[in-house]
Amino acid sequence: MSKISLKGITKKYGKFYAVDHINLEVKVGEFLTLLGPSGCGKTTTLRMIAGLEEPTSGELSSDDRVLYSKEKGVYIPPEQRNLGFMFQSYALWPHMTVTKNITLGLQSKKLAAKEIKARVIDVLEKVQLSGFENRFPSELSGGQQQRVALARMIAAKSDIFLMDEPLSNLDSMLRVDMRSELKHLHNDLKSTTVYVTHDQVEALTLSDRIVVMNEGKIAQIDTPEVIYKKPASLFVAKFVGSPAINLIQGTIERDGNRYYLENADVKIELPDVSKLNMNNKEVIAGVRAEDITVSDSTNTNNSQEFYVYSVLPGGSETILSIRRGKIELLVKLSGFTNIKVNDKLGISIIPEKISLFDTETENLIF
Amino acid sequence: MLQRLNFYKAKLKSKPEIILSIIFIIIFSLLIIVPFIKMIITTFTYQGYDLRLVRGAKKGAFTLFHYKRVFASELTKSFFITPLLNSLKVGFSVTTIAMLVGSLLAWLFVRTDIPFKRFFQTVIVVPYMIPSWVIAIAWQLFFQNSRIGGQSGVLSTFFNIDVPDWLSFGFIPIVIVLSLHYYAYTFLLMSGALQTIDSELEEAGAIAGLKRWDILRKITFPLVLPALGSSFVLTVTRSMGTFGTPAFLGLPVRFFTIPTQIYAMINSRNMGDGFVLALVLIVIAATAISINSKIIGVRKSFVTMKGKGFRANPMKLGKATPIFVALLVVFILITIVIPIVMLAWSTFMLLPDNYSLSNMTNHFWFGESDALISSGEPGIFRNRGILRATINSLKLGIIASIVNAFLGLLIGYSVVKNRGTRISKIIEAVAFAPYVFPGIAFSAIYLGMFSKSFGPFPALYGTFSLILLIVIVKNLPFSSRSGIAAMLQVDKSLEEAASIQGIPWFKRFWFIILPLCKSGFVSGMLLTFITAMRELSLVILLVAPKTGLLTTLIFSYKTQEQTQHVNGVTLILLLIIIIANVLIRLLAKTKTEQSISLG
Ligand SMILES: Nc1ncnc2c1ncn2[C@@H]1O[C@H](COP(=O)(O)OP(=O)(O)OP(=O)(O)O)[C@@H](O)[C@H]1O
Ligand SMILES: [Mg+2]
Repeated sequence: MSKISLKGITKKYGKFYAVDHINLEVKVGEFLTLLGPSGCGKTTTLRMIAGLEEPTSGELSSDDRVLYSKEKGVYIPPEQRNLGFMFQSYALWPHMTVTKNITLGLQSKKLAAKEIKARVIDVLEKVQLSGFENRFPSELSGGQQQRVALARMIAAKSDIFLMDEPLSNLDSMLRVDMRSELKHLHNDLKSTTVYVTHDQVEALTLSDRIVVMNEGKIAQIDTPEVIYKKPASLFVAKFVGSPAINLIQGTIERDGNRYYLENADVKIELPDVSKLNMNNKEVIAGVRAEDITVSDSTNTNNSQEFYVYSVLPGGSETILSIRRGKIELLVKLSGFTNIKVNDKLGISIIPEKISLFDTETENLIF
Repeated sequence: MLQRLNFYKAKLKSKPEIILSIIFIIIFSLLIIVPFIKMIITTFTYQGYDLRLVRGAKKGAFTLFHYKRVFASELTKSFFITPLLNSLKVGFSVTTIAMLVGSLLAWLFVRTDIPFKRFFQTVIVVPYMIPSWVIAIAWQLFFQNSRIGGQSGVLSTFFNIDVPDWLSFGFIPIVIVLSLHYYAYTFLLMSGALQTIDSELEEAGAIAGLKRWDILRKITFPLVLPALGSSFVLTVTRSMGTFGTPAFLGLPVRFFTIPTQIYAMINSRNMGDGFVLALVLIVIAATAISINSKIIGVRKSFVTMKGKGFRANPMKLGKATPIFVALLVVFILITIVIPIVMLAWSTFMLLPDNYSLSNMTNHFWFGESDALISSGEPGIFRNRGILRATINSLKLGIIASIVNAFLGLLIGYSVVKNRGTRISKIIEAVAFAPYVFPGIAFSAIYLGMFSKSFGPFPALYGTFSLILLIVIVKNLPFSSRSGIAAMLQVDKSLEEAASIQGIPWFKRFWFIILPLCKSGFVSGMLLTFITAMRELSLVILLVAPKTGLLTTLIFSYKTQEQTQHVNGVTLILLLIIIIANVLIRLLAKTKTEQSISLG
């Protein structure tokens, strides 16, 4: 059963499609992330689920209860959708204390005072803010404010959480901490979560499934692993992963039982692509930086010799930028390295790790 | 079909801004648009007044008679050309002087190290809060000569100076008095603009090698241009449309401006011609405003200016400091201290132009009715008419300020929430429309409209409610501006967060939006209170003996030449305005300057 279901959900501003016929099923208890570049319609989609924005067309339902459908004449306002929402700006009420921020909504639900009190204590403990009850938002740090917003959302005990880039205002250290907190919390509460981010690392870390969006459309829905290893299109391949995926354009050549990608500069062995039937056709090959291994070129009689353009050590890993002719590749090595600029290197790639994309449609073909 | 209906019903229910917009559109149509249309219709039909003049005319029949008479007849010169030229002359002279004075003061306070800044800044806007005709009255006490209006002023009595007529009445005194009132617009808007200009912008210019004059011309001037434009439009439209001062200082010498001419016409029940002139004023004001907003952009032209902290390195005045301080002191003496002292003093004088000690009396404050003195009018503290007017004025000010502040916020809410839609633009524009209506003409229309029951309103002729209603409507432009400005500063996610939590609209408004707009709300209240207290032309036709206000009472004492009562009641009015100011300042810690810069 799906917890949230979007059927043909569309949002137009004038003639511009901010969200274009999106179909999406969010499973019960799932952590789903909407990922995409700025302006691709993530926030709009999330706000439509919450009821803060009205779709131009389409149907939205939750637990088989229709929330919005013009055809069926159903419109449930946000007040009655019973879900939690976390704003990028946190939207804490600046004139209310932490406690009041949390309880205002609970009081509207007509809960008993005792219950409300218990919940405040409970959620503040969960977000590690006990003792901050009487502070005003302006008296809290960014991270603490973020946790108050989180507390306010979970106090309502709704089983759907919607979050719009909740970590984007935090510094990078805190962001990593909060990721783990969020993940822990999700394990704890098992609430169905739709999470918006443009940070692909965040998406890969947190999600059960990722929805990659581009220009109002869904580019791919899948688990982080598949999204990373078998991106459905060049767009997804380029957007996900750091450093960026290496792309090499060339023609497929057959040499006996083996297949190669060839261009003026390189010849790279491909997996068995016989069933594609694309001999002598142009394709684009994608290889992740960590799937390329380099070797001292003097040791192999590799004719495909690359030279090192720059070395970018980053502590746990080092990125090499290597070049040959017009080809530039990024290679990821673990730890530090002795390799220096202008060193000569040979490369090898396991054929099965290579993805192939159509040059015209830019879709994954293998 | 039924589904469709249910859908829209549900949608409507959860979108209070749409319901509010619909309500506003209905109310505005009845109270702003219908009166305007009636005004136009009146100009195109025969009125009761015309029947004596035109043989065979039928009341209500279509005619161009009024337009012909105002624009193309032997009366055109006295009905239209002269008042128009007078108004233009007054408007532009006042604007020139007021903008010079205002800009100079703004520069002095924002950009130099003038001492006692806070004190001067507080005092310097006082002339704006008191009605401009208070200074006019004080002017007369000083400059009146015995040839016109009977009594003679301080100059001629004390110093035996023969004050020339042009200095006691007419163009020159009107321009000076109005300038001393309206410089406040430029002062407030320019201070705001100068404060928001980061001095780094100018320093960057200096580093880039620009000369001082070029910096002023190429960097500073363009940045303060919106403020200058707004000051210009505000000052021109208001000084051309104002009634009290030209009435007090112009009518005795038959110096008519358009508003006083409209008053004269409407007072003699010549509605048709009066409204044609009113339309002239409306067209002038609307043109000025639209040109200004075309050039500068609507958003910038009337924004509230809030200072972002002071420029770090103000210009040193050095040796010139005492000169500037002395100038300021003189300015304050002339605009505030002397007028008030003069008013107060004159209320203790038995004969208005006898300044000897033996002439001193407290009769006008405490005396019982004496048929020999001021037609038997009892002293101010024994005078039931004055007491009633005080209560009425207070009631009007308090109710109107609360209602207007709420309406302003609600209008702001529906405008900001519907931002980008046509409804939002319409509401914003219509709420601003009363600004361009001359008070006299507006009230003449209301008088006619509410003499019978109209729409949901009962007949309100002669009631306090009618006065309250028109004051509220006339103040909508300012309260809606401040409401919109306040709403724009409330991030929309704050309300959304509440609505997602299941908090119903009323609670959201009360617990979240209202507290967040508190300072805008309070300054909106103060602004309405001040304008309601000093409203004269708008209410003068509408008051009945029981519903008289302090201002109309002053006006009627004035026409009866009961100088001491005029001055005494004026003092009471001033006192109320100043106390209200101090109270609100203390209570809400908002700055009057903020609220006034909208007005
Ligand atoms: N009220 C509006 N009127 C017109 N266009 C809008 C409006 N709101 C959003 N858009 C447009 O719709 C598109 C999607 O906006 P949305 O806010 O959903 O992007 P996003 O994916 O959340 O981007 P970001 O990562 O920058 O937050 C954008 O191109 C935006 O310009
Ligand atoms: Mg967004």
